[in-house]
Amino acid sequence: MRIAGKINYPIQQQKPLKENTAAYCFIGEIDLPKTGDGILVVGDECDEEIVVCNSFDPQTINTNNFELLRENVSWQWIDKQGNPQTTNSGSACKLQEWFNCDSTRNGVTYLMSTIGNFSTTPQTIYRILDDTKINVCLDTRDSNNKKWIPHIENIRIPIFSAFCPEQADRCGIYKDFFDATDTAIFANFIKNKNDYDDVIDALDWWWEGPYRNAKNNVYLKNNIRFSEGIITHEYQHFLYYRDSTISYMNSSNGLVSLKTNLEFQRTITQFKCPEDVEKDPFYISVINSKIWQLIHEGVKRGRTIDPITKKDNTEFDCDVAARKTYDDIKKRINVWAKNNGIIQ
Amino acid sequence: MKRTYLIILLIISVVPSYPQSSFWPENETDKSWADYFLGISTDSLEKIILEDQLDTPPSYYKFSVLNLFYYHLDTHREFLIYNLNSEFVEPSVLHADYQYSKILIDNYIKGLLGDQLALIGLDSLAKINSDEYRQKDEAIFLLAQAGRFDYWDYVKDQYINKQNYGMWNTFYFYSQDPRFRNEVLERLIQEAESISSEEVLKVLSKANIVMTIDKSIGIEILKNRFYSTTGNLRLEYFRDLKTVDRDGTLERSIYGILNEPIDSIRKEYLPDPNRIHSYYFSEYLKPEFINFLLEQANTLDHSSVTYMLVSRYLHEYTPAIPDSITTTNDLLNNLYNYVDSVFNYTWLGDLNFSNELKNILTTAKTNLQNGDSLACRVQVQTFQDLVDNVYKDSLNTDARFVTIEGWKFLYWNAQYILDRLPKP
Repeated sequence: MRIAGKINYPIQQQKPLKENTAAYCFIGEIDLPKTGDGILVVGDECDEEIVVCNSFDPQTINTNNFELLRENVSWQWIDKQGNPQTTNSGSACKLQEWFNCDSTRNGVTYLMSTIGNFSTTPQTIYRILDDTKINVCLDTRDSNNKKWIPHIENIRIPIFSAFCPEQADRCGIYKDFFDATDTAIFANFIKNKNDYDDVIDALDWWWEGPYRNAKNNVYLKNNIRFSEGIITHEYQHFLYYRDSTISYMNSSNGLVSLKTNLEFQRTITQFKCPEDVEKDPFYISVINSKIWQLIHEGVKRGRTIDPITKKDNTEFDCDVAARKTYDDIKKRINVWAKNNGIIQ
Repeated sequence: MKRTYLIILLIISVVPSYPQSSFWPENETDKSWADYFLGISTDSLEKIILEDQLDTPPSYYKFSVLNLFYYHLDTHREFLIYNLNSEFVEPSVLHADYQYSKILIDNYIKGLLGDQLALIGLDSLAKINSDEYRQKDEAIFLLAQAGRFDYWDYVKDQYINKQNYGMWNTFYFYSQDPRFRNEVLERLIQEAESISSEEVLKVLSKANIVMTIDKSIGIEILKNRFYSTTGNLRLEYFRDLKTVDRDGTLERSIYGILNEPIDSIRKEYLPDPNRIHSYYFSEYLKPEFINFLLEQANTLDHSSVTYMLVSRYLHEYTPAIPDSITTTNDLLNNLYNYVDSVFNYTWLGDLNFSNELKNILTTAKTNLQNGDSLACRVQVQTFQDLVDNVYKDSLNTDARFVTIEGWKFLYWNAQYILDRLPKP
């Protein structure tokens, strides 16, 4: 094996020097609870108490591990040195922004592996898993081969999901009825039965959904949208990504491998104390790499790729999920139109 | 062994240009992984790729490759093509998993750059003699996207027998090969049938996927749900079917109105009287549906919302406005047929009167075919006047009569023709 040259890793990923270890003493003070699967053993020579594993149940994640972000919202975390940090999602709609007007993109949902890079003001960059913490317990079942088993605390999976009007607006001036609760918008745009018909034609188009209308070569006329429906559509993508990731990470190929696969275990002869293994940069990166891969694969499973169009067929599902929102919008418009004598 | 970057620079001049077309589309999430190394110098990224070290964090190789691809392709295309050559190792080798990850990203990027060698590299992963490596599954998926369907037994075994849901997309892609199409389709139909009708989104989703392979079978799945459910569930399937099987909408509306006992649901099978001429509702302006509503109006509870809507619809509808593609000659033929329909529905009385109207239209057609639009117009106007006079003269004692429905279909369709013909 050759010796590594110096790599300028992102600041959060820099391999800490031995002297940096003291920084981790702040962990107790920054309120990160120790929740490993074990019982405490006192009286050892380590800074951190050795916990003997008493449970080998696989680690699982749930919906609480996911956070939905919109544009320009702040994101806080505690960095590896124990310092509180803040950044901002900024104009995150810009990821893979569409520049031409052949078709329009009204919203986007994706796994945010970095947060802060779309902020308009200089921000610290958060990288996914920057604020996880590895806790190890000692597996003493084989007294000749005691080994450290990891448990990962604070897995946060940020998913950006938002209505993104910029490209569509650049390609045509849109009338947005939002969730159809603002009657001033109605009064502005619906002056007579023809205007009403235009709005309901557009609403029916959105109800059928862009996916199916594209298949039928039916195009939206009048550039009218109801952004609440688009938000519901994107939220369904979020739910698909979230649920597929939970399902994958909790499966037999998922987080359980951290406790069963030798790659993620270290022996007590390699690392005498829990803090040695928990803060070993290479060990951290091996664990993080595995979790990155699991998250990546889990999110990917939230899609179904059409073999012919190579597009995501779950677009249709998300259109269907938005239909209830469009039904509610239609009810509101009809009530207003009746009250104002535009329809009977 | 890897070449050094310096050597590469020397041989760039003899590199043949690679085709630009990709074997597979970019995976959208990869861009965000590339962002993980935003701000890292290209020297550092190259170093991670070139210095093949086991103490480099495993994901860093992938992130470096993706970062160069997404942010520095203009300067690093050749670098990527020449240096993404991770060597194959047997599964028994320690760190085989790491090496397979590198081979996967190497060939994924090469495929995006249109390099044929990507397919050979992926084949080496696809042939790994173990099913424990996800990289094998991903390689087989990429190969399927490139139109290579050489691993059917493995794909089928993983997806069906081992419930490896990660193989779902691959299994679906194999439907593109005629050898496997029917087997994939049968499996998808089975999966659709196993979903409870209450899980509407899941049923619609699966039916939609079936439709991408065989539209008629997908529609059949939805129709079965429509006819086998009741209440709001049936209504959900009805509404979705309207978007994919427009021709069957009328039949299902009639079925829904006849079979739905709950008034608040039954009314949803009716067209919206406020939207009579909407693109979505032209099916409901045909004589057979109007006749159906007339029959229903006699049997429905007069206090029901359905009855109120039926009455209003019958009062307010006018026949569908023909599209601009339909020729005037076709419109004359349609009107001729409407005379028969209207007579058969007894919206028009007296066979002689019916024949008189048809004779006028025959003359109009002859005029049109002879290029005499003005004479044609005179005939159509005569037709319209006759219909209008007989309708208005409802107190006459002869056998001739036209009901309001007969009048609407004959008068308005004549008007649509007149609108096309030049005025003298």
